[in-house]
Amino acid sequence: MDLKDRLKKMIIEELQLEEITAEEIDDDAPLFGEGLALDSLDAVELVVQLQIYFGVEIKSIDEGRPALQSVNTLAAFVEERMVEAT
Amino acid sequence: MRIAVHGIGLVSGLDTRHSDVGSIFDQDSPGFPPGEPIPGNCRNKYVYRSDSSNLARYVSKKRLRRVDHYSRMALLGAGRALEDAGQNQFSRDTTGVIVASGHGALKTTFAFLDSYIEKGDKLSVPIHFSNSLHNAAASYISMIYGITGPCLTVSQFDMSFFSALITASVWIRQGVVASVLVGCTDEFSDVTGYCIHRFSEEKGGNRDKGYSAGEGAAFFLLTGEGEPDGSAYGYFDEICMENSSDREIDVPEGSLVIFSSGTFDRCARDRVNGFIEKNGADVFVHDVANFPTDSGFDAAFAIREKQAERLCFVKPAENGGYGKIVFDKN
Repeated sequence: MDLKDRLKKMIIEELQLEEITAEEIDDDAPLFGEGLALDSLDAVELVVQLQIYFGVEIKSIDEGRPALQSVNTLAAFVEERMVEAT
Repeated sequence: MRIAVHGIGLVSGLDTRHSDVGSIFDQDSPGFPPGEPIPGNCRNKYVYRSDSSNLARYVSKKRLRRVDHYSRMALLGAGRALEDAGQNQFSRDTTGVIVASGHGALKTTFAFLDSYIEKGDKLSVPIHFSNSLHNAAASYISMIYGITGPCLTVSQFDMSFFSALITASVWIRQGVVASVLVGCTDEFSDVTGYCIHRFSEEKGGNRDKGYSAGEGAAFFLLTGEGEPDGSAYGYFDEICMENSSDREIDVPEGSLVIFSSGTFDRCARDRVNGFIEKNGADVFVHDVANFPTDSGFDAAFAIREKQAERLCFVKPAENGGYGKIVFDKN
């Protein structure tokens, strides 16, 4: 399973999005507002779950805002941090 | 001023186990089939779990995604009470919400604490935290059903429902609101099962003695007495909590007395048995699917199902006191 699929699976399971499948999530669709229509509590949950699943920490709003735009931006952020860690 | 009961909503594990739930208060009923055995080394200990899947009738699945089982039971009970009352009986702007719970959202609370212990404070699960708060259920009811009056959660263990009902009565009497959606909810968790097992050994002294746990919700839409128009089930005449173990339980003459007696406390059980010995026939002891706020549950069942003109609900408390509600059909 590639990173984007793992992220989608994490989002669906941890944010309890029962009515959507991983295939239905567009890689470029906004996570908040439009698209998946997540809210601020989901953002907090995502930050925690990223650390649990991937060991990647979002330390500030400045880091989080660009990273949490879409599955694509999230995957790029996680990949970059994982490379840095190695 | 008496308090009129307009709508009743129930959620119970007994629904799924018995086609005629009304027979819960029938002395001659063959009884309910046993619930699901409580996990662990317990004999004759059962639990009746509630199903809240019918909630989709009132709330879209999308709005429920973060709502846990505890709050779903409350939402379903509240939705049924509002539907039962009918739209004409209340205005959402002048209705208050009061939810009574002895234990709150047990499963979610323990899930949150587990995540805290296993992963530390920085990585404990935020959604579990928000749902573990005692006032989560009342808040969901207010937000999802658009009820904008005051919103309160009451937790006083066995006496929670009585306390909530007293507050609802005060709100109506003082004109704070025109109506109150008041109810109770409690859920069963594995930890509850463990405690039942331990209490049956330590307090009852007989681990084989039967016990039946439950979970569920019961809600009432209440208003002031107003002019009788036949829309009310009847009226709460008296609601009280008595703290003294010295005084006898005082019940109105001619009323059918219903005890919610699911307790391991010997003093409370002795009190019920003493009352029955002295007062005889018109007493029913409900001892199936017990949980801390089951007196609200018993009241809802009996008001709907029993033909008696006057009902008196009593719940003995561990401190030797008791809670009492007198309901009059006319």
